[in-house]
Amino acid sequence: MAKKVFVSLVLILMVGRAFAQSNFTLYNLNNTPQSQYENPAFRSSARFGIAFPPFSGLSKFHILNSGFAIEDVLQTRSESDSLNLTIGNALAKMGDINYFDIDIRNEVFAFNYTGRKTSISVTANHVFNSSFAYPKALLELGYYGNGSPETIGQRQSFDQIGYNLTSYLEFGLGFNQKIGKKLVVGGRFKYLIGLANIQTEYSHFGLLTDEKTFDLTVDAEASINTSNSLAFFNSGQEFELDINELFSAFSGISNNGAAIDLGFTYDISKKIHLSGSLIDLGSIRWRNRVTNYTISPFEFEYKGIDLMQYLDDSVQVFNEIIDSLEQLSSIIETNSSYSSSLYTRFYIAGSYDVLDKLNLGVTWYNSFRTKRYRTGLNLSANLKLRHWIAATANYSFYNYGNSNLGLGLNLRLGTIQLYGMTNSFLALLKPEATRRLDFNFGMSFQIGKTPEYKKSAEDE
Amino acid sequence: MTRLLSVVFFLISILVGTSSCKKLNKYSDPTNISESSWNPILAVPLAHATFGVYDILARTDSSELVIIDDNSGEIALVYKGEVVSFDAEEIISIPDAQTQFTYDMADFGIIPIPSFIASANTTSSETFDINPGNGVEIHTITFKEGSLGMQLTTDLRHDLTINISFPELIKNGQPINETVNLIYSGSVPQTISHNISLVDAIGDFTINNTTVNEIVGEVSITMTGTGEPVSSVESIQAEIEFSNLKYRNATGYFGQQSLGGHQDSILLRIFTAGTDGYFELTNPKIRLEMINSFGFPADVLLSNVKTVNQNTGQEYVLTGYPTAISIAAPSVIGQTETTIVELNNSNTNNLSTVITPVPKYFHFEANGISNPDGPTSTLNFIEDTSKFRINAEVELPLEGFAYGFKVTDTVDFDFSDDIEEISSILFRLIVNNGFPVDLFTGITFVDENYLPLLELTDGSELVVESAQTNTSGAVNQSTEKITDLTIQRNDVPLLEQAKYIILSAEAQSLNGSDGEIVKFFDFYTISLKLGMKVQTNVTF
Repeated sequence: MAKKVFVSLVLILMVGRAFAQSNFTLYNLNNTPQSQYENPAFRSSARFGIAFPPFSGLSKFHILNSGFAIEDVLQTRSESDSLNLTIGNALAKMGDINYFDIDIRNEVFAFNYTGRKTSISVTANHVFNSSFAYPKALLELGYYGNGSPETIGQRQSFDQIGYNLTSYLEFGLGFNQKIGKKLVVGGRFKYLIGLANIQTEYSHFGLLTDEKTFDLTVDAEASINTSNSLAFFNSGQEFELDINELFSAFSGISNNGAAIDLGFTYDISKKIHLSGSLIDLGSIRWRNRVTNYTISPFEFEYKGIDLMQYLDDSVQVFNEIIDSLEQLSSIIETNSSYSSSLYTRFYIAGSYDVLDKLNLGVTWYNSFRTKRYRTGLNLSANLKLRHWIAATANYSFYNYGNSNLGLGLNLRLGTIQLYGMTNSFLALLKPEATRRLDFNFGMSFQIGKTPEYKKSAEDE
Repeated sequence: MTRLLSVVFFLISILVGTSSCKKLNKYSDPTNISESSWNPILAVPLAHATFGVYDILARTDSSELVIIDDNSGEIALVYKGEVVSFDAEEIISIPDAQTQFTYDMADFGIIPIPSFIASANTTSSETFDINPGNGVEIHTITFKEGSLGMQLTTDLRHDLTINISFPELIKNGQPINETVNLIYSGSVPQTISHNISLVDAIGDFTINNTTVNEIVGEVSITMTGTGEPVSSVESIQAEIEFSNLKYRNATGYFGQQSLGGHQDSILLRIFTAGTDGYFELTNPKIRLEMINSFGFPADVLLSNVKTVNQNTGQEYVLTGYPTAISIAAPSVIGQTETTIVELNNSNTNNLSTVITPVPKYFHFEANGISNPDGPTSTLNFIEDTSKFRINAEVELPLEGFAYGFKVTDTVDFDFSDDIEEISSILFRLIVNNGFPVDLFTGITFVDENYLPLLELTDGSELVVESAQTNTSGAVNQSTEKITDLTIQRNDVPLLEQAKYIILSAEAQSLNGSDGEIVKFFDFYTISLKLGMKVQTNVTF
């Protein structure tokens, strides 16, 4: 039973490694209408495009456990097919703070018009971001115990532990303009309606076991804001979607926000292209059913039972211990509105047309997510086989020590456009080694042809 | 061609996806995991305490520990007892005194007459003796309680008026003088009783400084005729009695009263747990506090002062101490005179060594005598609240050395818990010792026949290490000692057989076996911390 629980837990945590919504593959498939989510200066190949459920469907799914992969915890024995449990190995590979993220973007509606020089788009998406930050020290404490050489005598820092969840509706109005023959600039203004949020504003928790005396010192300080969280947490205890609560929460919502996307493309020459974008710069003000939970700075040192006091009044000794611990659980609740930033990211890319149908590129990605800065570099080979089919293969390197292969394919079959891509193709080849899994797919209706697309078709 | 490529692309994706799912299969089957173990180590503090000198040396009775030098804080253990105790009633009590007398017609000067209608009178003086005995000579008494009773019976058929007075018995500023009437009612015998309270009365029992213990009463009886005859046989029988006499105070000479033979043993509790050991206190003292509110001097004779080792019964007799101790008396009623006599190394031969052999009791005997020099020109006095006490204190300034001081205890033990998932338990004892004392401890698990099964300590292990002292023997630096005691998993079968734990401790002062003198002060503390570290072994 213990094995089953353990393995289940590991698998839940293992399935993939994607981080902070980097989507190099989509960025490189820049003639797909959906690539405008990564750079609003990208132009579609169709005059008109429209997408709506069920045809648009799930456009993006991304899951990550940054701490460790399956093979870090379960290693195959060389002499047999059985597995060794190597938690210590996994812990050694973990960062001080690790994340388990799930990001989902559902395209609810999209319309775009692309003229000779001007393109406009209207989009509606539901965005869901969930991130659980877990310190390595927390797992070390569970694995080694507080009295082991690895943990004793040093503060086991659970700082930054926390959960962040944002669910919002995004209504975008996009515009891009071709300026001259080389430059395209674009932007999108997005009006946001926040559905639910959990924000760990800060958290400081620690446990110090004195190496000599084994005295325990617990410190704590935290601030957590929530809005409409009860829609997800039934009775505040278990994760369970409560439809009634959800309806009640979302009616009369006033969690408003705004964000912008900015982008450009510039053809330095016929073969050399430059592009860049800034995505999701904005925030949401949370006002609905807000609860702010604050744990004031607190430190409790437990030195064992005071024998002198115990001899005088044994009951009082334990009462005082309980009183001290109750301070830890003494959470102040207020109801003040607050803001949360979106997961802002920006790309800078350059590419070179090696052949008519082959383009090589490099893309630099940056993101800011709940005070985390992430960056990655991507090398890509983008193949435009025919005017209606494009594919990309790319390889990404991230500053948190991971790399992965991305593949993508975009088809335009008449008025139907299909696309599918992943930034973590190696997860499919070697799933036990991956910490990230993501895929994007969808379809839309594309009507008409832009002058560039027409020219491309005619050239073929 | 392109369409073919796209088809191939999708086929590859499906194949790769299927392959990756297969690869994950083995990870999702827990049975593929070879047996593993989880060995976290848990550490927790269990208890702590800081003990001062009062907590250690005088926990049951803080009055036993006193500071004998306010400036330095040097301390001593003081054990108290009461050797002699007398109250006033035990020294002097006043007995009842009574006198009976008879008056006949001749005393009235009346001859027989058929009808007597005149009056006649007779008077007399009566002496009352209140001698308490034992050579006590009472001069004056102020009464707290007591009464003067008179009972009179006659067969005379006439009225009588009886007057009784005590010129030297003053109450409310006036001599006691009482008159009662006996009116003939037609029948005989006639009887009358009368009581006079003596509360607050002051009596002079010297009859104008001519004697002691005596007082005179004047009686006068007047007979008034009723017309009834008087024959020659009638008489009057009278009885006057002092009874239930209690004094508020008294003066006189109270004689050479024996203050009896009294003895007491003072328990020196600090040594009660010891089974063996040598210690020597450099400056022990026995302080006798003699409190006297009687108005007479006394001598106290000390005898048979010794210590008794309760374990062996061996006695160690103190010699060379002054046997006769003069007790001063207050000069004014209501005051108390205190005489303090201290026995120490300078006025005894062997006080330090008498304490040395782990005594349990200090034994005293005392006899006393009042007015050892006989009567003097100054009168003795006594009050009802007068007391005579001899309080004894054994003062042991904690200055000296000790070694081999042993304590052993056996406690029941029963262990049958399943601790399969525990590899070892380490108990860590940290002692920060501010006392100049080493303590060696042994912990041994034994079976029902007291045969050793497991020794938790390394023999008799030093767990409390003495603090460091300066040249005068005072602690100038505490010492920390960490002791780890470990029970391994393979010790568990032995623990399951164990029925008792034998705990032993042996203490010695810093370099006590070399005779190094150490001192104890009121600021000494010792702190203890006990923690536990558990190595677990969970297999799955």
